[in-house]
Amino acid sequence: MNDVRKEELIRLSMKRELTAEEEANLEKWLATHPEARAQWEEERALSRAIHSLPDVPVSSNFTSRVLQAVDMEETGEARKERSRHRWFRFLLPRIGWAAAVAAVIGVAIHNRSTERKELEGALVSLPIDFTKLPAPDVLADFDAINQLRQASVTTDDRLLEALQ
Amino acid sequence: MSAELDPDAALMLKVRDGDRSAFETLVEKYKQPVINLVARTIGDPTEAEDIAQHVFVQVYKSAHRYQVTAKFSTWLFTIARNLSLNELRRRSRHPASSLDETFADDDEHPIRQAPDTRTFGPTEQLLQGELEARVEEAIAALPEKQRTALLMCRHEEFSYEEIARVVGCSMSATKSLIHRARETLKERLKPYLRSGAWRED
Repeated sequence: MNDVRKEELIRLSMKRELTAEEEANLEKWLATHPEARAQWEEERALSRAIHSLPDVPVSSNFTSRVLQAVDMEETGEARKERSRHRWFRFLLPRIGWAAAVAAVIGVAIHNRSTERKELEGALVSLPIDFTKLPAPDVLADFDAINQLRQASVTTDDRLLEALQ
Repeated sequence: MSAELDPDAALMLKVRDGDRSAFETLVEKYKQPVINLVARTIGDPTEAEDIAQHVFVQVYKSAHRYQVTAKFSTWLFTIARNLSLNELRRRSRHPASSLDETFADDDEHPIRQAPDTRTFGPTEQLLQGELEARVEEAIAALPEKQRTALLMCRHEEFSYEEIARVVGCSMSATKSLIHRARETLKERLKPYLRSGAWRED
């Protein structure tokens, strides 16, 4: 047996007791390497000490408690799922109506915007020469003249009535 | 790894398909090692059952995501370790729940010191109890990663590779963790290991 095999046996002793054959092999090796015996004994004693650790006590109903906890989780999940569905059913028609109203408003705004653009386009394309228009001073007495014209019409109407 | 090689993975695939009895089988099989690991990680056997319960509930809830990429036990112990560490972090944020314990994540420093429970009695039972307490105390004083690796190493079913996955280290680092843990224990338990019986320092 070589050193690698010895290491392998030490590793195995960490996990379990060696078999009779493994033990015999190790004894053979230790007979030719007596200086390693103390180290081996210490390794084995440590492995046994670690293996001798007692199990932590477990309640007899542990498994049923786990299954109960799983049931509660599932019930909780199912309730959440139902709650999500309920909200979905509540919100879906409202969301649909809101979307329809928004769509109508959107179309109306779009149409108005399009009409406005078309009108602006038409005005821009009119063949008007702005340089030939009269100066704004010409319209200074526009309101007074306009009122005179309306007054004249009223007088003419009265005269016409008198003549008739 | 295929489910044919690991019967527990095959059971877990059944759990994924909604088989409750397969889940029950897994709980029955692993409750003891999981509670052992959790109790020795958090240093509180009474709280260990509650955390172990969370571990198994987590397993059930995660069943639909389960992929057979490693042994089931590796996955299970990873969850158990993570939830135990979460509990330690929670306690460190709320020290009122564990006034007598201090925790640290630093692998080079012990997470806690177990109380000195030495008592001396004439009977063999008392001596055995004393020896167990000494071993428990020495293991509890190890840094968390060393302790977890060492405790997993005593199970024949865990290879170094699987232990490495659970503690989140490379395989060589895991071997080193186990070696350092054993060296520390040999030093602390030397009188017992050499004589086979307790001897005071």
